[in-house]
Formats: sequence, C-alpha cells, structure tokens
Amino acid sequence: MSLRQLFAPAQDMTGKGRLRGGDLAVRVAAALAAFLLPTLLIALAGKDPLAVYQEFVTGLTVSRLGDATMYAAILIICTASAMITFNASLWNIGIEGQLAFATIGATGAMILMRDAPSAILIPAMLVAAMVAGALWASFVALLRLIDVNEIFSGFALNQIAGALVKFMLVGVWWEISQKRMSGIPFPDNASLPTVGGINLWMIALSLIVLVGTVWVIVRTPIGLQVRAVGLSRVSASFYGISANWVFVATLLAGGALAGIAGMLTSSTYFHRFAPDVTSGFGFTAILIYLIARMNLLGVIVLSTLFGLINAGTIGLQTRLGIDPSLAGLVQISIILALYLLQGKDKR
Amino acid sequence: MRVELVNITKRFGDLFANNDVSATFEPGQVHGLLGENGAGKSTLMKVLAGWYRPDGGSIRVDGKDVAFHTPQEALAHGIGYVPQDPQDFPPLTVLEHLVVGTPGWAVRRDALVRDLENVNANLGFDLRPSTRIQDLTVGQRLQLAMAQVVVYGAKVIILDEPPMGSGLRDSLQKLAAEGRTVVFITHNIPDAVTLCHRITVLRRGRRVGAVEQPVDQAALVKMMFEEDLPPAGTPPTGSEDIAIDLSNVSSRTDPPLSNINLKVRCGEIVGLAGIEGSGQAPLLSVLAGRDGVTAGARKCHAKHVHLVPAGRLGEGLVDGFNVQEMLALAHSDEVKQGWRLDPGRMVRLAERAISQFYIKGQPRSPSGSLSGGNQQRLMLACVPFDTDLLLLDNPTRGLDVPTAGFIWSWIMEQCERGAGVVVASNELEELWAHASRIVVLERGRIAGEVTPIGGSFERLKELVGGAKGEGE
Repeated sequence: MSLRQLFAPAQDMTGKGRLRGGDLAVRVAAALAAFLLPTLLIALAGKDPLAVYQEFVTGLTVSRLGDATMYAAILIICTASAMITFNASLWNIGIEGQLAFATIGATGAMILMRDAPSAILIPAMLVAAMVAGALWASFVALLRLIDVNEIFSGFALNQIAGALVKFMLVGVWWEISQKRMSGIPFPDNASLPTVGGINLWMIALSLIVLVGTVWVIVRTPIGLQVRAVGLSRVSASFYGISANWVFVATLLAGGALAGIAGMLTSSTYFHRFAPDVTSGFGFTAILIYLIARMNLLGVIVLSTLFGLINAGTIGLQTRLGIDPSLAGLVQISIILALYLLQGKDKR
Repeated sequence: MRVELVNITKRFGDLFANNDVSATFEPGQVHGLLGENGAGKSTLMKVLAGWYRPDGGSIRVDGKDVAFHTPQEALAHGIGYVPQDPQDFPPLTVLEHLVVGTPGWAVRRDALVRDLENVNANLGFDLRPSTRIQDLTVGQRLQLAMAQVVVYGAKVIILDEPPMGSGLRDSLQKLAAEGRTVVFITHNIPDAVTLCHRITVLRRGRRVGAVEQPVDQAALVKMMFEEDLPPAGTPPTGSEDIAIDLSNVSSRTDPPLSNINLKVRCGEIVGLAGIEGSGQAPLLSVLAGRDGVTAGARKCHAKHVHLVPAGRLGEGLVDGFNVQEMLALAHSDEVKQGWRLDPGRMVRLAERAISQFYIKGQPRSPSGSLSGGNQQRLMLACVPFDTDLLLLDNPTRGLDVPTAGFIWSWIMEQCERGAGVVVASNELEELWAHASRIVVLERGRIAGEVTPIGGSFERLKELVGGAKGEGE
C-alpha cells in the first residue's frame, strides 16, 4: 500500500482506479514543506536544526514511546468521534469542549469512588465521562434542531467547557485540589495499567473504538443512513430517513466517544484534572479526519506520527531549551503538506 | 472555426461515456449531435468545452491540437457551451449577468451594453440590460445564454438540448450565416432534421455515423435506437379500495393548495396535469405526507407511500452514493444480515436491478455518473417493493421514447400489483395514453377531471390551457 493509498479519502478507497501516478515534484515539495517551516523557525531562534532533529530521534526513550502511544490513542478516539458526525455532514468542532466536559465527569466519579478497585473505578469513570461528553454534545444537537449551526454552538460550548473546568477546580473542588492550580491528581488505581512502559490497554481500547466506528459507518444500515443524510438531507428524506434524528444520534455518539478520550486524558495521560487538559486533541483529530477520512491505517499512522512528534519535543526543552510548542508546529506543517498532496490528487 | 474531435474517450469509473468518438464540425453550419439519453452527447461536448478532460483522443481547432483545463480556457479559444439547464443568477439583471461572466478584470459596462444591442439586432433577440433574469421567459433565458457566449467572443457555439421555440431555428441559422460553428445537441429527430445541415449520431457512447441533408428520418431512427419501441399499455381501471382520500384539503405550500378533493383508488393511475407550477409538486408532497394540511382532511389507507421526486441527483438519488449503496439504502431489509450490510447481497441486489431496469452502469458506478435516463431508472429501482401508494413527479422528463416507454410499463406493473399511482407530467399525450383519469390543476385548485376512455383530448387541452370548464 503506497503512502497515497494510505491517505486516500474514502471515496477513493472504494472507487479504485482513481489513484493515478502523480507529479513526483509536488510530492517531494510537500515532504520538504513539512520540514521547511519548523526548520526555518528553529534557525530563526538561533538553534541548529540538525541537532534538534537528532535530539528529536534519540530522545525517544521507552517512557517517551509510552507517552507517544497514549497521545496517539487519545487522538485516534477523537478522530473516531469526528468521523461519526462529519459523515452526517456536521462540522462538529465541539469535540474539544466535549472532551473537557467529560474530564469533569471522570473526575467526579473518581472523587466519589477513589478508594474502589480499578476494576470498578475505571468503568465508572468511563461511563461518567461518556455521559458527560454526550450531554455536552446534546446541547449542540438541541441547538441544531432549531437551526443553529453546529460550528457556532460548538465554538461557544468549547469556551464554556473550558471555563467550567476552571470553575470546578477553583470553586467546587478547590478544597479537594488542596488549593493548587496544578489540579486534582488521579490515584494510581484510576489509571489504565501499562505493560513494560507501554499502555496496551489504551492502544487496544483506541483500536476497538476506531475499527468499531468505521465498521458501523461503512458496513451497517445505520451507517449507510448517516452517510445518506451527510451527502443529502433532501434525498435521505425521500427514503424515510429523518435528518434530525441522525443529527441527534451522531452528536450523542460522537460526544460519548469524546468522553472516552476525556477520561483517558485526565486519568491516564496527565493523571490529573486541570485546566487546558484537552491539549487541542479535538481540533487535531478533525484535521486528521479531513486527511485520512475513513481510512483506518491513515488515521493510525497519522495519530502515531503525531504522538511521536509530541513525545520527541518534550526532551528538546531540557536539552536544547526549545519550547515543546514546536510539536504543534511540526504537526500542522505535516497536515498542510498532506493537504497539498491531496489537493494534487483531486485534479 | 473548424473543430475536429479525434478518437475521444471519456470514462466515469467503469462506464465509457464516450468511446473512441470522432466528429468534425465545420464553420458556417449547424451541426446536430443526436442520440438517446445517455448516448454520450453532453459528455462529448463538455469535453470539447473544457468541463471534462478526455481520457483519450485529441481536440483540434483549425488544425491545431488544443487541450482545455477549464470552460474559461475553452471560451478564450472561442468555444462556448450553453448548458441544458440555465446556469444563471435569477436575482441579477441581464447586464449584471454578463458582467459576472466577463473574462479578465476590467468591467466594461458600456461595451457590454453595445455588444448586447448588436446581438439583439443580429439574432433578433429581445434582451434588455436592466431586466431581471427571474422575469425572463424560458426562451429569453436561452437567448441570454447564447448572447453571453457570443458577447464573450465564441466562434463555436454548442447548445445542449435547448428548449425549442419558434425563434431558435432563425437564431441558429443566423449564427451559422455569420460564419460561426453551431453544434446542436438533441434527442429529438424532427428537431435535428429541421435545424441541422449535418447530423452525427451517437449510441451508447460510440459514434454510429453521420448524415447530411437531405436526411432520411427512418434511417436516423434506425441509427439512434437499437430496440423497438415498447407498446403503450391500456389504462388500468383500479379496484374499490381507496389508497388515499383528500377532502377539502388546503396547504401552505408554493403555490398554496385550496379545496382539493381527491380519492386515489388502489390499482389506478391518476394523472396530474396543468401548466407547470400549478400545484402538482405541492399536491404530491401533501399526498406523501411531507407537507401538512392547514384545512381539510388527509386520510391515508396505504401503508407504504413513496414519492419519486422530479429532481434526480440530490433529490431522488443521494449524490455521492453509488448504485449499490442507493439500492441498499432503499431496500435495507434485502441486504441486512443482523446488524450489518452483507456486501455480497448488496452486489447481487444491484446486479439484479441493473438488469431488470436496464441501467447502463455497474454496482459501483457513482449515481452522479449515470445519464438522466439511467438515474431515473435507478430511482424506480429504489422504490420499496411493498409501496402501495406510488407518487411520481414528471418521471419521464427529458427522457427518450424507449426509456419513457419502459418507465410507463413499470408503472403499469405497480398498478397491476395493486398500488395506487399518481403521476404528474407536463406531457399530456403520455398521461392520455396511460392514466385511468387525469386531474387538471390550476393555481393550486382542481380545475377539472378528464377520463381518457370515452373522454375528449380536446377538453383536456382546454382545461390545461385555462379555458374554463364546468368541472365534471
């Protein structure tokens, strides 16, 4: 499977034969472009780009690889969330807020049951987070039913969710956090366990969610109806499919998946309930979806790549004094380069 | 300009819309491009006009090889395409419309007005710069589209199934007399014969041949069609069972319906006639339960009502779904295996529908790649099998005779199965030939009803034409 097939949008996956040999120059230019922007900025900051990239690779220790896989797993689940709503033509940019609100749900469950064994606490947090995520998404759904565009409501709800997290921390749970802005730590029994530094549970969970989501959308009558509404509400209505019902169902399902991501983020990735815990997962996931669409391998490869980039930049700060925000920059450069490729393929 | 198409091939997925087609269009002539729906006429001309890029073959203009990437590029080389449906902006004025499409950056209003006046004078058009497009007649909108490509300097003018009007013949002759190359796409043999100097015939994406005047119509028919025309059926009479009953129904549709009384029995075909926009579509929508009633009562006894809308892509068909996805959406019970779709059954269902409905396409052909007639047949294939009230809005619009015949024989079958059928159509002849009775609408009211058996066609025409009848 070539790189291009890997990132081919869904219609090309099924359509076959549309992937023609393209212009090599554009491909090379895209790959270079992905490195050009970060390289320029590193050079502007007065550092040696080569040293940075070297540190980037050598810095990937086992524990960093563990971080990378967790980061990738969360991204994969968020991308699955995006898949559901985007297939119904909903630009659900509210994943970020649903994830944030879900961390409140997970934290609430943790506070209530902190001494319970993992086998009880973790499922309880998961359910609480999924319900919270779906609840937050339900506001987008309700507003959509009265013709409020999901982009506006999603944006507003993201802001509100962010503010709510801060409010919970410094207000309701201020005593529990022992008055520390760094947040409420999660106990060890709230984390999914690792095997040799790698969180296999999270990897498995994310893959199950991703494969399950794609399967439902591509291989079931329900998925077919969702896609029909996404492509044309009017056409779908002639076959007795209610667009409103599909909007509500997909938003709730997407919110629930964002909830899973929220629970994993707070309990296992950061081990704490804190403001800005979402790290832009929701937005990055949308960008990944827009490139990889329904291509399983595309989503997995991109998410893993982004996880590695994120983990690789953590060491840069201590060793070379470079801010880890470089990770975001590299990620966005890659996305833009892939868009460049995709645009070329669409001709 | 002399245009040569050499061995043009254009594929959509596995479907060859044009297969190795060659044609030559000489300046000073009106050239006909004749064929059934789906023969590849529009595709071939869209390849010439830069809308599509060919998968094989070449285009020569005055002996030079050219390749167009956009319609603008083709227009800059003097090739202007007038599409079947007007691609204009109804709220704009005629002049504004010309300004919008002007190539380049400079807006030359005065020059455009002068050019438009020249076109009016030369071609006998009556286009005023300040008229809003929404206030133009269908014929004037065609004139505007033609004027537009002439003003932008087209030497080759392609008309895709233009609405036939009295002035069209003159305009085409005048365009040709000015030394332009005119290509006229049609599926209507008499139109082609009366308008064209030379006619190229396409069938299933291939060129069958070309003829020059004087033309033998019978030979053209043979070239165009492979199969004989199916015979028309006799109108079904229907049973005593009522499928749906509207009494004194009014609605807030556009146009609003008022005081509609209509009973549709199982096993009969009710034709809906009237001037376009007299309330046929709203009535079908109310019958289907898609629009509510504001007064009166809608009593539906049919269990499964299905409306086949007039629009194809984006209405009856999901634009973006392929044939097998469309069929799976419509007949999900047929392809369900527990919770999942059975891919094998999806393909088998699609293959069955393709052979049963003569759809020229594959299970994986995107519905958007099918021609109008094939899209219509796919829409029929997507009618749920247990439909007992079937509503169709202009199911044969723009289709050739064999396809229309096929559609009517299929409608008859549904009737014999016991379904009540309501068909709206702008073609009185086809309603006359097939319907059990014909209800004529006028401004959202029922103007009268005519029964073909024992009734008078003249009376039907009078009703549609607005000559007041007393109601029967």
